[in-house]
Amino acid sequence: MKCALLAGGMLATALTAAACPALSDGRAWRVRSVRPRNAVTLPLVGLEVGAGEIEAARRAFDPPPGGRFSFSVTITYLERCAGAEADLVFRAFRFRVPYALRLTPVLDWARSGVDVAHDWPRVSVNYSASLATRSFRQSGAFSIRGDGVETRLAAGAGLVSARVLAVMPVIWQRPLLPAELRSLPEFETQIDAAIASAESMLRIEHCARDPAFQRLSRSLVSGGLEDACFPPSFSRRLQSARGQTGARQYGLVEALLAIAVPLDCSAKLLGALRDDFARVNRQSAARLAAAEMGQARTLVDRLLHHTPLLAVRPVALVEAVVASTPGRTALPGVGGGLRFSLLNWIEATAGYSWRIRHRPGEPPGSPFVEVRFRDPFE
Amino acid sequence: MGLTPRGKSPSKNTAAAIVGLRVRFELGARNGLRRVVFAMERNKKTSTTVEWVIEFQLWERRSRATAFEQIANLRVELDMAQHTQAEAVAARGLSDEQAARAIGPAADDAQAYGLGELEPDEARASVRDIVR
Repeated sequence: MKCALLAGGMLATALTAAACPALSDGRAWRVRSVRPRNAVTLPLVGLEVGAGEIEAARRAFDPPPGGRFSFSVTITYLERCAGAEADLVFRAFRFRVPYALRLTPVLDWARSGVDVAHDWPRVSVNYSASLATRSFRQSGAFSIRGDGVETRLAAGAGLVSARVLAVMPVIWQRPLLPAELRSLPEFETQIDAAIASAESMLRIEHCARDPAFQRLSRSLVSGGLEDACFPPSFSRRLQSARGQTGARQYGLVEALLAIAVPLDCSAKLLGALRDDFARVNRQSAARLAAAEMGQARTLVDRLLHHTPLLAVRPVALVEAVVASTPGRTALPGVGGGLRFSLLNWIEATAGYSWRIRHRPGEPPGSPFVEVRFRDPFE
Repeated sequence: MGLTPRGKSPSKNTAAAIVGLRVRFELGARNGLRRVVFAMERNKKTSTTVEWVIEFQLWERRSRATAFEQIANLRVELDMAQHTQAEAVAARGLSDEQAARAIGPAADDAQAYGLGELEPDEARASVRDIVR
C-alpha cells in the first residue's frame, strides 16, 4: 500500500494521505487541488461549496474585530466523504474545525479534526490533525509563493514531500479588453470620470461626518428656523434636510444655505449655520476619500490594464517524496506542464512528472492536474 | 461590382468619428437606501449643433434586503449655455458640489415630483442645476 502510494503519488503531498483530504486544507469557495493518486486513475474532482457567513452563527458567536465566522459544506468524491466545517478567519489566520461523514463502506461519523493555517501574502503554514476511528493523523505544510517559483514542503502520515514549481513567463494571452477599446482615449477618460465622481461622493460623505456639520445638523433639528419670513422653497428644503443624514443631508443643507432670504430673517441662527458649514474640514474629508478610493483605483487599473482574460504559462517542477519508514526511500522526479489562468483568478495547471528512479513494474511517471482559486489582485 | 478588393477591409479607408456620447454615473448613498443615476447624452442634432440631455433617475428602497424601486425618471435637455459645463462633467466626472446637488436637492425634488407635490418644470430645473 505504501509502495503504491509512493509510486503513484509523486505529487501527492503528505496531506492527501490523510483520510479526508477535502476537509484538511484550503479556503471556502475553491475547487480543491486535484491530484491523481496513481498513474492510471483519472483525476477525481473534489468540489468545495462554501455556504458563506451565517447570520445566526454570527450572532451566537461574536467574532473579534476583523474576524469572520463562516460555515461551509464540503462534498468530495475522492474519498467518498461528505462533511461540514466551521471556520473562524481572523485577518490571515484561519482556524477550522471539520467534521466528515464517510459514506462507504458504512456510515462513519468518526472523522473529525482541526486545521490551523496562516496565510501571509507569500507564505502559508498549515497544520492539520484528524482523528479516525482508531488512529490519529497529523500533517503540516509550509508553502512559499514567489513571482515565478512556488515551493511547498509537507510532512505527515510517514511521508515528507518537497516540491519546487517554476512558473515561466506568459507565452500566450488574451487581454480582458478588446484592442479597439484600449486604444480609445475616451475610454480612459470615462473611467477616470467615473472614479472622480465616486470620490466626490465619498468626500461629501466624509464632510457630513465632520463635527462641525454634525453640530449644524443638531441645530437644524432643534428648531428656531420656523420663521414666516422665509420663502416656501426654504421651508420645504429645511423640512427635507431635517429628516436626512449623510451626503443627502449635506447636499440639502448646501442648497438650503444658498437660498436668498431677507436679511433680518432669523439672521443670527442662519449665520451660525453658515459658520458651521464653512468650518467643515474639507481637506480632511478629501484625504480620507482619496485613501479609500486609492484601493479602488488600483483595483480598476489592475483589472483593466494588467489582468489578462486568459493566459498560458509553461511550468517546470522538481520534487521528491521521502518515507520515514526503514529504508527511507527517496523518489525524485522532474516534470513540466502548462498553467492556464482565467482573469488571474482561476489557475489550472496540468502536466506530467517523470520519476528519475523507479522500481520495476512501476509506471515511469504520473500526470498531474491542479486547480486553485487565488486573489486576482494580490 | 461593389465588392471590396480581396484583403482590404472597407473600414480601413474610413475615419472613425464619434457621433454620440453617453455617460452614466451612479451615486449611491452610504446607507444603501438611495441611488441616483445621472446619465448624460450628447447627440448630434445637425452637422454643426449638438444637444445634451440628462436622464436623472431616483431609486430608493426601505431596507438593504429589498430591491430598489424607481421613484422618478426625468429627462432634461440642457440649454446651449450649459453645453460647456456638460462637456466638462462628461470628461472629468461630477465635482463635490455637483454630486451634492444630485444626491440632495435634485433627488429630493425628483421625489416630490414623483409624489405629485412639485411641478415637473421645477424638478427639471433642479436637475439642470446639477451641471451649473
